[in-house]
Amino acid sequence: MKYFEPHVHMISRTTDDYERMAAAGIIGVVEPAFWQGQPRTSAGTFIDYFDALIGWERFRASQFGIRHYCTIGLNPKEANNIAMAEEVIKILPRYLAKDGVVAVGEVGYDDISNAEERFFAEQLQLAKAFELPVLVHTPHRDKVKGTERTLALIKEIGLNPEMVVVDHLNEITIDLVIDTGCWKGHSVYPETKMSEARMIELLKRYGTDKMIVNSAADWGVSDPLKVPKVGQAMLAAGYDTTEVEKVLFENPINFFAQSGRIAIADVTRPLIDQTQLHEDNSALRGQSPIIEAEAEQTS
Amino acid sequence: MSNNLNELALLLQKSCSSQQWQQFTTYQQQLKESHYALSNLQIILASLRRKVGSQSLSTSIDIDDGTVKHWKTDELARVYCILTTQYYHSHCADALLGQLYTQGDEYEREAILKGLWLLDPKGQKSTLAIDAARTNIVTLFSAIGQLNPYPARHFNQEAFNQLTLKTLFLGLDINCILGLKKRLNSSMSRMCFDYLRERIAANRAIPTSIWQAINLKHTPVAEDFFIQFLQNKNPQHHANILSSLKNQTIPATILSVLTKSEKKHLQAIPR
Repeated sequence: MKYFEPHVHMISRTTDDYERMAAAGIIGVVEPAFWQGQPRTSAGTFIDYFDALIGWERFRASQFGIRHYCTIGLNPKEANNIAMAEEVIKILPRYLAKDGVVAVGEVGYDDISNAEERFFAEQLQLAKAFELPVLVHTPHRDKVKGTERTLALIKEIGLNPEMVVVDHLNEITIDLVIDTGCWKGHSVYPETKMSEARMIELLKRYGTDKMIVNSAADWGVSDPLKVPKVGQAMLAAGYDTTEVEKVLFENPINFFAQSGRIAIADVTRPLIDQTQLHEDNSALRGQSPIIEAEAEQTS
Repeated sequence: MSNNLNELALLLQKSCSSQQWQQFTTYQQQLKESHYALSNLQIILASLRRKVGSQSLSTSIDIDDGTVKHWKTDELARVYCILTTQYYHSHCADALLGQLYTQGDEYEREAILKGLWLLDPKGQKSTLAIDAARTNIVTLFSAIGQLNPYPARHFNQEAFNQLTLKTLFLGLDINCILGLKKRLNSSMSRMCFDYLRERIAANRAIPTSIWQAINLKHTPVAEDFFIQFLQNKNPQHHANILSSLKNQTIPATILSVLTKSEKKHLQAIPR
């Protein structure tokens, strides 16, 4: 079984995670730009962070047989520092044009403040200009209102809903999105957000079209193996492998494929060559490098 | 310059589909007509791989004592766009390359390095290029170090020698360093001989092109190794040693292990 993880913050994870994810069948990931657990204090740190997403992290993933793509955006939490946010918005265009950047994101509301709305709207306009899909974060608090305002703003900006995935949905908020044309994202967490069993119930109730599942794993207590774990739960619930791959491989890739910068045919398991370096740096610490030849490829 | 631009454009057109070429000409129009803005150029450069593809060029051209060959279409398109910007907005040209290189991704950087002999004919960005040659990313290193006239024209001796040694260290062929024979010097010969000795002592494979950077006039102690590797009949070592000897005064000890036809080929002059 092959899986695609459409929302995971690998920069916060260890090489053990990459190894376990690859062993579980994950061959591609999308890493959305997000906040880092504490507020950044200058736009310069965003530049370094974005450069890491299109550079070092992509390289690091390749060292473990995983293809890495990313989304670029100013996250809602840091949109409230207006002076800094204005600077960050100015640097976004040159990143949105880069190869491997498959969407604008994650953007949306956190506290649902005016500043958040301003920069959310500006980034939806950027998505239109660059013909990119958008990955929208829905807030942890006041989720229903945040989701409603998200959908209203998408309409107001005139963005094609097909180009939007509304993420972190649950049993309550999915009903708001179901008839809008947007894609539906679900983050399966160890405790909060969504569980494997609840996810299966949603799939039974709403079907598998435009349904997307991710782990949203980051620097907090989270599990980057949640996508394959949902796959196992789907099989146990009677879904066949074609349906599992539709939800957990094809759907997310087809959503991001609207960028023109990723396609199902591109997402194959890359050969590992751990002798390679990036900016003089290796992901190894004295271990013997793994070098795969065609015949050794596992999937 | 405008003749060069025309030749490069023709080469790109021959190597692209009509749809790719049309997209490229739209970008060209934007660059000519718009007021200079780094951000616009950066967006165009970042998009070019998707718009004109990354296929090999259909042919090659000689230009400014160099050859545009072994490039991809996106690399040629990127170099062309920067040249156009330098041409139409000459007041911004000085700062342009440094900013584009620093803020480019790996493919944009490779394109700038491959085209640096055209983009920076006076060698004003040699510091950037020397720093780029310190990378361990093989593709980036190759962009400046392999089949590129820039290092031989603009690197100082120390940097050129380091480039040569690093080429060997990365397992690449120093025959692809343009201008190597002209720039060969006693320090380079000594550095490469030391590297050869280290590899032999560690019982590791010897780069077959290493002989091209060792001159017996500068490093006579290498004579025994020349003889040893001439006799072990590895065809690649053999060919590289003969090629290296072609530019040298050959000691009698080495002449004694050469065949008649090899001597004739080298027009060998005993020392």
